[in-house]
Amino acid sequence: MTTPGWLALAATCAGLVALLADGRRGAAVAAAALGLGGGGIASLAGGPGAFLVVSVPSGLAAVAIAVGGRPGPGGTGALLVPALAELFGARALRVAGGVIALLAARWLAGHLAAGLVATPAPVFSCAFLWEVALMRAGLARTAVETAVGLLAAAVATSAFLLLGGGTEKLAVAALAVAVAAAGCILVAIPGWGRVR
Amino acid sequence: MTARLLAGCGGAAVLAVLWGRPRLRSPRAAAIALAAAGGWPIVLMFGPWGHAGLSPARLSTGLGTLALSRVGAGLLALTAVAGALRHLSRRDAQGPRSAPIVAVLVAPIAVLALSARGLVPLALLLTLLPLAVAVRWGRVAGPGTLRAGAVRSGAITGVGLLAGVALASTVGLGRTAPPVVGICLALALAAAVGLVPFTPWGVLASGLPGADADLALTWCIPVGVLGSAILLAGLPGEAAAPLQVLLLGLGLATAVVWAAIAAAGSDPVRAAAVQAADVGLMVAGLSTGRLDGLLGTLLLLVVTLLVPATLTARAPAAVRVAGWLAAGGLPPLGAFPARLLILAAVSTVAFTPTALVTLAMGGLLLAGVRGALRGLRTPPEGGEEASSSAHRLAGVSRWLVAAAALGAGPLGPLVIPLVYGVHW
Repeated sequence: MTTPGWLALAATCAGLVALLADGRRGAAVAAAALGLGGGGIASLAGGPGAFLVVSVPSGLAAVAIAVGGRPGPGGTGALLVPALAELFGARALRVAGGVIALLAARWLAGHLAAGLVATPAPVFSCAFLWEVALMRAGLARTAVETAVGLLAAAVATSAFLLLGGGTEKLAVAALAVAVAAAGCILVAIPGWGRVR
Repeated sequence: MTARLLAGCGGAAVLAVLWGRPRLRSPRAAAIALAAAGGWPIVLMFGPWGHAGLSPARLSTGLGTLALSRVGAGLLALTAVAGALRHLSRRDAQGPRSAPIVAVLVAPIAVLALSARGLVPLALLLTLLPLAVAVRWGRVAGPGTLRAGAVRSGAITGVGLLAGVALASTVGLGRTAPPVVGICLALALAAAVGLVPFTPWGVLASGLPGADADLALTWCIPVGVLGSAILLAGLPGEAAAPLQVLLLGLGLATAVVWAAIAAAGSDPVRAAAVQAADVGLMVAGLSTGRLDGLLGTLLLLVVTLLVPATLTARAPAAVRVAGWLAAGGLPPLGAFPARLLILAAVSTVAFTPTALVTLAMGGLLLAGVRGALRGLRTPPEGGEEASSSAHRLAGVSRWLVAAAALGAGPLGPLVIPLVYGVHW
C-alpha cells in the first residue's frame, strides 16, 4: 500500500475511534484522534505545516476537554432519533451508523475529487469523517459532544481543502479547525459543558 | 469594512455592559438602550466609513455578483430597529435582562457572517449562529426539545455547510458530482433557516420569554436567508444549479405545508406558521436567481420582522388586526407585494411552482383574515393600560410598527432603496 493509502487507513481508523469513543474521556479521545487522523491526510498535500495546522488545535481541544469537560448529567440520549436511542443507546446507534457510513463513504468517494492526490483513498477518509461528524453531533448528549462533532466536520473540511488546493488553502483550513477547536475549548469550560 | 465591523461589535459590547448594570434595568433605561441598539447599525450604514457604505448594492440576475456590504448593513439595521420596537411594544412582558447576553453572543456573529468574504468563514459563522442560540436557550429554558431542536439544526447546518463548501471548491475539477454538493448545502441551509423537514425557528422559540424568543426572528432567520443568497451567489455555476433546484423544492414545500397549518391552526401556532411559510417563500424566491425574487425576499423580510410586535397579547385589537392583515398579505397591503414579486420570479421556472406559490399565498391570506377576526373578538390581556410614560411609549411603538408593517409592502419602491440601498 502507498503512503496515501496508509494515511487514509489511519484517518479512517481515527474516524472510527472518534465515532465510538464514549464515556468520561470519550470526547477528549475523539478530538485527539480526529487531529491525528485528519492531520495525516492533510499532510499529503500540505506537508508538515498542514499536519500541524490540523492537529495542534485539535490536540488543544482534546486537552481542554480532558481537563475541564464533564459529561452532562442525564441527557436526552439522542437528539436526532430519541426514540431509537432509548431502545439501543447512543453507542449502538453509532456502530450501526458507522457501518452504513463506511458504505456511503465508499460510494461518495467515487463521485468526488480532491485535485492534488491521485488515489481516492484520502477522499474516502474525508467523506467518512464528515459522516462521523454528522453522527457525533446528531447523537450528542452534551454541548461538548456537539462541539466535537463540529470539530470532526472542520477537520474533514480542512483536510479536503488542503487536498484540493495544497498550501494555498492553508489559511482557510487553519481558520476552520481553529474556530471549531475554540468552540470545543469554550464549551469545555466547567459549567458550559453541562448543558443538559 | 474592518472599521465598520469593529464599530459594530464594539457598540454591541458597550450596550451589553450598560445593560448588565442593575441600575440601568429600568424601563426608561431599557428604552434608551434599545433605541441605541437600533441606532448603531444606522450609524454603520450611513456613518463616515468611506464611499462603500453609501454606494448602492450591486445586484445582478442569474446569481452573479452580489455585493452585500450595503444590503447586509441594511438588514442588520432593520433587525436591530425591529427588535427594539418589538421589545418596546411589549415592555411589560419581560425585562431586558436576557438582551445583553444575547447581544454579546449573537450580534457580532451575525455582523461577521454578513461581512464574510469567503465561503468557509461564512459556513463557520452560519454554524455558530444557531449553536450560540441553542446554548442560550438551553440555559434559559433548561432541558427539552427546544434546545435539542436548535442543536440539531446547528449541527446539521455546520456539517453540511462545511462539507458543501469544501466539495464545491473541487466541482470544476471534473469528478466531483454537483448533486452531492447541492444535497449537502441544501440540507444545511434548510436546517439553518427552518425549512421542511426541520422545525421552523418560530416553533422552536414558542414558549420562550421575550428577548430570547426574539433571537431566532431577529438573527437566525434574516442572517440565514441572506447567507443563503451569499452562498448561492458565491458558488461555482455547476454547483449552484442543483442547489437552486433543491432549495426551490424545499422552499415551496415549506411554504405550502406551513401556510396550510397557518390557515387551519389555532392562534398560538398561526403566527409561527405564517413566519415559517414566509421563510419558505423567501428561499424559493432566492433560488430562482432572479432580481424579482431577491427584491421580494428583501421586502418580505421587512414585513416579517415588523409583524410580531403587533401580535403581542397586550396589543389593542386594532393593532392586532392590522398586524394579521399585514402578515396575511391583504392586497395591496403588508406582505402581498413582496409575495407577488416572488410569484413573478417563480413563474419563470414552471407552472407547478407558480401554482404552489399561489396556493401558499391563498393559505396565508386566509390565515391572516382568521387571525384578524380572532383579534377583533379577543380583548387585550390585562385590560386598559396605565397611563405611565412607559406604557404610552409601548402604545405608540405598537401603532408605529402596525402602520409600518401595513405600509412596507405598497411602499416597497421606497423601502427597499432606503433600507438595503438597492435600486428598485
